[in-house]
Amino acid sequence: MDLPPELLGLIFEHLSQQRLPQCALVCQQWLQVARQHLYDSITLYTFDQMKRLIAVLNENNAIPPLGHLIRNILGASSRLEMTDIKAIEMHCAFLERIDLGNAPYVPLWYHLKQLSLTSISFRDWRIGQWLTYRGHQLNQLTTNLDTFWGRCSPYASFTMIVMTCPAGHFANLVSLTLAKGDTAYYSHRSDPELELDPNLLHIIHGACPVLTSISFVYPRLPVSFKNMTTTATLPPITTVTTTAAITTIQQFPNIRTLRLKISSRTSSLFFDLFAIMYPCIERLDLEIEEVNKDDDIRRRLRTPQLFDNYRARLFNMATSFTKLKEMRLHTTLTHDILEVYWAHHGWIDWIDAHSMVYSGTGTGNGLINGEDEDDHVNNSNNNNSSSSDHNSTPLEQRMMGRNRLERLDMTTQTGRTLSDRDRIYVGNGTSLIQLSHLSISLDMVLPKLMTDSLFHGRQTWPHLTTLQLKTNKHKVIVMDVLLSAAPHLVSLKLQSVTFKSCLWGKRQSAEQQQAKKKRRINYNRRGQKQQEYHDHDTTATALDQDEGDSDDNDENDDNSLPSHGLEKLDISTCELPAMDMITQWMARCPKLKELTGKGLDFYGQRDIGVSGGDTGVNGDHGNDDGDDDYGNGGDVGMHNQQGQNNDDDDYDNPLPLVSINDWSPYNADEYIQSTPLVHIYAPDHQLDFLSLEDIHYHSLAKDHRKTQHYGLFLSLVVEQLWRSPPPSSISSPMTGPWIDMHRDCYSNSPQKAYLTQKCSGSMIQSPNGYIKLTCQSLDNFVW
Amino acid sequence: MSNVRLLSSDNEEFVVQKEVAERSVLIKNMLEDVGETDSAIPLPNVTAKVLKKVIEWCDHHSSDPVTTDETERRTTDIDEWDQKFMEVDQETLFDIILAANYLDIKPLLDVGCKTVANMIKGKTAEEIRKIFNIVNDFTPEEEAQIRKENEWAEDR
Repeated sequence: MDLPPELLGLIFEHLSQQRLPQCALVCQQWLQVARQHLYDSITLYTFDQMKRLIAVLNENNAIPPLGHLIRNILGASSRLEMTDIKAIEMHCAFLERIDLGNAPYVPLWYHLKQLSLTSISFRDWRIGQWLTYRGHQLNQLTTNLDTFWGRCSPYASFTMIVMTCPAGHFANLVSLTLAKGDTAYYSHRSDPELELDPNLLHIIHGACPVLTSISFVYPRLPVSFKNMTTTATLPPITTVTTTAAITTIQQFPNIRTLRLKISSRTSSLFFDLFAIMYPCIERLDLEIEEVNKDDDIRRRLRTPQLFDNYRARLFNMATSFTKLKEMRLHTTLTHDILEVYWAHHGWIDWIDAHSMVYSGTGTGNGLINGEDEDDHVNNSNNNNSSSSDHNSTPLEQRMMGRNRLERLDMTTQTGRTLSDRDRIYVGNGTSLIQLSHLSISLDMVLPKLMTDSLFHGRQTWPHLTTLQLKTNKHKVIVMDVLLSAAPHLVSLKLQSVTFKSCLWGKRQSAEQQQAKKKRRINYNRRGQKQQEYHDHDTTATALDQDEGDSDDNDENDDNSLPSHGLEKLDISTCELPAMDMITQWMARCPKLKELTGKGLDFYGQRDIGVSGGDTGVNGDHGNDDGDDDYGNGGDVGMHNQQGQNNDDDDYDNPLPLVSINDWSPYNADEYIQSTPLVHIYAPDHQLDFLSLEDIHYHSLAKDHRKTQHYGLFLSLVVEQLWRSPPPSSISSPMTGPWIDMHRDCYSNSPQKAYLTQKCSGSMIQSPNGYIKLTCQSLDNFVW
Repeated sequence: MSNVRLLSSDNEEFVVQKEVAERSVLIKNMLEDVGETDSAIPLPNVTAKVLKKVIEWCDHHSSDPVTTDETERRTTDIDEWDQKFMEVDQETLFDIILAANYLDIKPLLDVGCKTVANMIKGKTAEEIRKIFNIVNDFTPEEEAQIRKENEWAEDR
């Protein structure tokens, strides 16, 4: 291989950190290039990994030193002790980025580009000095605005530096976070009120000319304006009256990202100020935190005038951001859901107004004249009129020419489960259906357009690529419906949902689907066959396929859904009604690269009148020896099931647990005799990452109700695969208890397995089930 | 649409559409510098066999938008046509990569590098050596040392 090192480097760019160590072992030339790539930017997933890295840095005597190659260390470094930080300081002279969390000591590397100073304040004199001399090289800075430190201590503060440095001193700073200061300091004083001076903000912007992102992180602290009269002009404001002078608010159009993590006691003047200062905001993160139960939020709720004022100011800020594309709204609810509803109401008004204009419906059914929505919408309409009154420009005109809202994250950390009375309105849906990224709780009151997409497949999400859904109530999702509604989905994360597949009875086995896929994989062909959806039961919607043209087709073409380009699937605390459901999804999603599952409950037979229910996994198949061949014998169970339910009525039957094969790898002469409970069969997939942990199997058969935990079995089987020597090196097929007799079935077995559980030999003596994975090119395998 | 003449290192001449040739930043810059010219542009580092392949690729991708998305660039996904295109012997594959680098055709270079990266994926060092016919020039002690040095990286 005669490639120059720079081209070898380009090849290594396409390899992950986990794959590079093998490249480093190939030859001297590869070692040098692989080292540079491996150490340039390090991502650490565990604290143990960090400790091992530090040990390597301490012991290694490579030339050049490994530490000198490191530019970035990402993740897992927040619990480091002083000695570890000193070791990194000593070895990594060229470090540009590291997040040390609340470390007691921050080394000031010469080349540092990102610095976080919230935990240590400016009592360390080196920091002020470093910022004065090396501030120009920073591109990210997190600091506080402790002006009092500047006044009453000899040490420098950020405020003092920006006031004394020449304009443009922080010439490369693009992201600035102004955060709560030294907690140790505050503990001596009871909850001081932070003062923010618009003049100071102007000066900061003068010192940071290329700033594009600014964050204000003042949780639990009230923020007021220094010397400023709180009864400023109604929005939109252009000047702020202070006791000393009238300040004209300047605009900073370079700022595209604004993050506000503020207290509910923060003055609403804040919103007016930002509405003027940052007119070109594209991304807005808002988190309003309640300080205590009897704080201003409740007071405002009880006083309509205050409520309207606060909400109008929020709405005014939103409408001022004419280029807004992304919103991330978060709240930490502690007691009363109504407060969350209220806190976000200004934003929901914005979403509704945006929907109205974006969909081109004018004043048809939106915020202004809508009368057909719930009470809270009416409430919103009424309240909105007060905000409109403040402005001579009609709302529609103000909303014209907006960008498409591309991303919305609405997350809550609720202290309790939401009930049906908790109605959190999230907008009328027209804008939401145009999103590319959506993260939302299914427990909110979703607009009809969204439920049509999520549950019925009647509405398409034309742009959606990332979807995260969370619920506390185990809402029912039909994966095929969801995938059909979002044809461009790349990443899907679901929490606490129950899956249901209504195609089950008529579906082909995974093996058949895989075989067919080999013949015709067409990722983009979709929508060629009309699909007709109808409600299956009261809670979920079934997907029924139009069998019109192909009803008599013996190739079962009516069963094949178009392939989907999903690449990442993450499911946690979910319920799956059948054990090979994941296989079925993978058959439909040939591009799937990452599969993560945690706390999954697989269910066996339903005990409500299932015909042919004996095909369950703990049933008859376990003793069928010799059916090693996946291609043929593998789908016996499915065929049996299909044979028994071969008429259209089977859509009405409950979903039985079906084994997609009855292959039993370990017969009486071997050490395991069991049937796969959860079998992920995806021989054509190039999975990069698989993580399954805490898996439960629940048998619902009348005669033996039981729940079993299979995570350990899974580990054991994987470990066994891993330990199995390659076929060529085995002289005798039975060299020990851990030899996998059926390794031909594992010819594409995982390359590596990382076990997070230690397992004992005794556990494997009497298993009655395990989980098996057949996959190609899997490098990482985490349980 | 005007044509451009390209001369390979073994003196074979290719006439290609200007738009196709301009997928190469090197050629594009040359054409901008020289202006309209009838003489062939010499490409002394590219043989006719490889140049033919490169032109075939440029022709197929002549209307592709230029992607600057770093994450997209870094994935190992290769579209079906490119996969077929890259089904060549190893020597030709490396020659295409070298040519793409010389001619400054980033997307082709990426496809080539991704193809090689996919060949490396999931393989042990020994298997990689076998695939690319590389001699192991480490002593057993060095090998053990390197293995130990990079152990931390294998976790995820």
